[in-house]
Amino acid sequence: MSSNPSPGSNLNSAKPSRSVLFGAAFLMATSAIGPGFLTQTSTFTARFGAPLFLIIVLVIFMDITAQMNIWTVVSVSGMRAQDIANKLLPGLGYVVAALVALGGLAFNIGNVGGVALGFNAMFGMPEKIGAVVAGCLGVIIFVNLMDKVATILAAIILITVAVVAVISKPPVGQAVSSLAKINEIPSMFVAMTTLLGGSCGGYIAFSGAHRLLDAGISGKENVGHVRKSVIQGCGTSGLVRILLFLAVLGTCTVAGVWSASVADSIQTAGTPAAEAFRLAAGEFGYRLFGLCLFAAGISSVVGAAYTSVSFLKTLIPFVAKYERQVVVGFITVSTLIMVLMGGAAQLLIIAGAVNGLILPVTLGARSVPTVPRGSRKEPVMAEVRFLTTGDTSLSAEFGNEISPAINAQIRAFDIALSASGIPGIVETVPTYRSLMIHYDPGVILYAPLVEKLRGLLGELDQIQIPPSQVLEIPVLYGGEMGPDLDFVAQHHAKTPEQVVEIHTSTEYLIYMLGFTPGFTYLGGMSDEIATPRLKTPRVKIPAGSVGIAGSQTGVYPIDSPGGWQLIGRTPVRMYDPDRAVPILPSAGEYIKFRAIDQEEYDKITAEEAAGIYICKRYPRQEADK
Amino acid sequence: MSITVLNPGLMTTVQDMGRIGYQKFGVPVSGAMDPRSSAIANILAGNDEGEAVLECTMLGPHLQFNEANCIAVTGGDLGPTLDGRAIPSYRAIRVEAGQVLRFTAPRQGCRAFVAFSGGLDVPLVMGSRSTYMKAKIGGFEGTRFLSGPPERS
Repeated sequence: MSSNPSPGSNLNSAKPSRSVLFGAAFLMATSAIGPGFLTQTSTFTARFGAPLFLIIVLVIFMDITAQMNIWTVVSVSGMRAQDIANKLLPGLGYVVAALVALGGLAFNIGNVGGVALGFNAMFGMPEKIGAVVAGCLGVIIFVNLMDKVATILAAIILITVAVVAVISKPPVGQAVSSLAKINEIPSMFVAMTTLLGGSCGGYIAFSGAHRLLDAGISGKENVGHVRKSVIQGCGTSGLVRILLFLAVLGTCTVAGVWSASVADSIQTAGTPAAEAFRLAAGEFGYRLFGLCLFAAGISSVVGAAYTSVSFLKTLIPFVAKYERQVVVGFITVSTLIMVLMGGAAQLLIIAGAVNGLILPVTLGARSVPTVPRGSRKEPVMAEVRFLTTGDTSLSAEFGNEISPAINAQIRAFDIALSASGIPGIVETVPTYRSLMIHYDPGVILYAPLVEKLRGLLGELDQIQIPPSQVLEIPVLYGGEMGPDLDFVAQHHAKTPEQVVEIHTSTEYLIYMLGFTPGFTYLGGMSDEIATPRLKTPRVKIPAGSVGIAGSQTGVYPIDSPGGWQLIGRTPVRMYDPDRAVPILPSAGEYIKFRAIDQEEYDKITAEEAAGIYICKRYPRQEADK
Repeated sequence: MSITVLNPGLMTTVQDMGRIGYQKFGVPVSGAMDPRSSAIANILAGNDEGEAVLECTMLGPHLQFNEANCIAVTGGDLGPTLDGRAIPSYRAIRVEAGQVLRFTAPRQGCRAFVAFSGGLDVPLVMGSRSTYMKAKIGGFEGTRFLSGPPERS
């Protein structure tokens, strides 16, 4: 369920279910519309009056833009925010996840408190009992009916706020005419940033985006559906915001005139939204507020818990394995803290403060991975450059850096191309960051070929990419075979055994082959054993020699001169022109070295000579990251 | 039939249309520098277009034919002669046992191709007879003509 496919390897092509798409939209919307949302909107409306409408409309557009970016990045890449962050800067994902989870917990205590307040307003239920009921309800909703209930709760919030908005008879004309007063924006800047934070800050945007991933909706082909969900979700929270604004505006407008005293009493009330509802519709309004706060709170309880855990689960295997239990635990802990500490109103304020503190940090951190990735990640396939490299070949360039992710895309494209049946392809050559494609211009010309290749890039998500293979290369380390092993060890103040241990502990990605037949360009060697080249290169290095040069490691497939530090030798023939498969390794595979003794070395040498040795190959366990 | 290499020339190698499909493994294509001329030489000699030929660079070799055959020389004009008499390029030429093909001096172009009816009997390595000197594969013992080993066709 919580698989984490690499980009381009997404296999979901089934049409996504409507209930999941609605559910994700409303999970996000109701996560946004929590007690804090109601409080902020009411307070700012009472403070600024009709002119706030312009800010609210602006915030809705900004919300849609920001969320569109985040949802698209997450769903197209198939990676959760923390994984994207980690990919960009190792460790960043953990920081983001920790902040979001901590903020989510603080927020959730407030949410449980909010539901308790709602019960109190509706039925006069004691706060602590209300909190326990809230926790239990949250768990039940999460376990059984998350998507459906999120939709129902969103409807309840909408209806309750709409009722009050109608009753309070707001001066809609005033509000609409304020849209033209752009010069008033600077004075309401704080309101704008606060409201925007409440719409899409913290975990909110990710609640829906991660929900879609969990439901298997990802990849380029689903972008249309995902965008519709964003509009639905942001539209819902925006509509609630506008209705609430109108309700408060109407309440503050007595007989067509702005009443400063009413506005003041709302701003200074313990729960501004409750005060506004009460002033607008009396006791009935107060009960309605209770229902609204209950719906807003309970959906936020589920949303905050679910999303916080979704941030942790790809980083901590335990969380991934027991995801449901952890979410339930998360809700339980928030409820317990709420019950033990009591005082829902104060806790709401504390939660808001903690969240206020955490929001800028996460937003700041997130803007690093999401903003550049947003412009880079989503159309990643569209950004492939086709370069002419003569009259019979072209180069498809996937990026400008050496990275396993780019290399994985090249591998996927290569596999897709060979399966595509595009005529006239002579051969393909994967490199660090591009795929060279040799073609026969007598069969297909450049322009139609590029057109077909672009089409193929668009379909890449639907093509099954087999897992990478690991090629196990036995190596006799040290001694005559590895004359420089001792030097490498001394260079790092390690024992030769430690060097061998480090060298054999990694699966090295074969980015490409070149230079001589079967020569592998490997990535991923530990810096702990990186060693400069020899000052004076050797004239002849025997085939099979395993060396280190700088942070590179590799095997010399044929006798050649070279300056690498030789730490061992493999009896395996990486290259044998007379063999049915002349070259053993291929790009996109991994090499893992295994230390062997002289006896095994001799045995394999004899088997190679007899042509009966089969090098061990097995599928790589972990998904490519 | 066989030929005897009296003088290897500057850089004479066996080439065909190249070792295709192994670039991803670090093996270059090799093959004739001028595939069109190579193909024409083969056609004139009655071979498949992709048959192995001798690629002669600047200073061509001296070759003695041990049996009668049909050959063709194409590409650059390196001054081909048969028993001392100039022969035209881009023609099928009948050669008798004992006759000697010499290239006197380059007049135009760098590389000439000599096709022998029936091709050259060197082993296929990874699907090609082309010489790839760095890895010592293909062609005649994996390298250019060095002295005067017998070569059969």
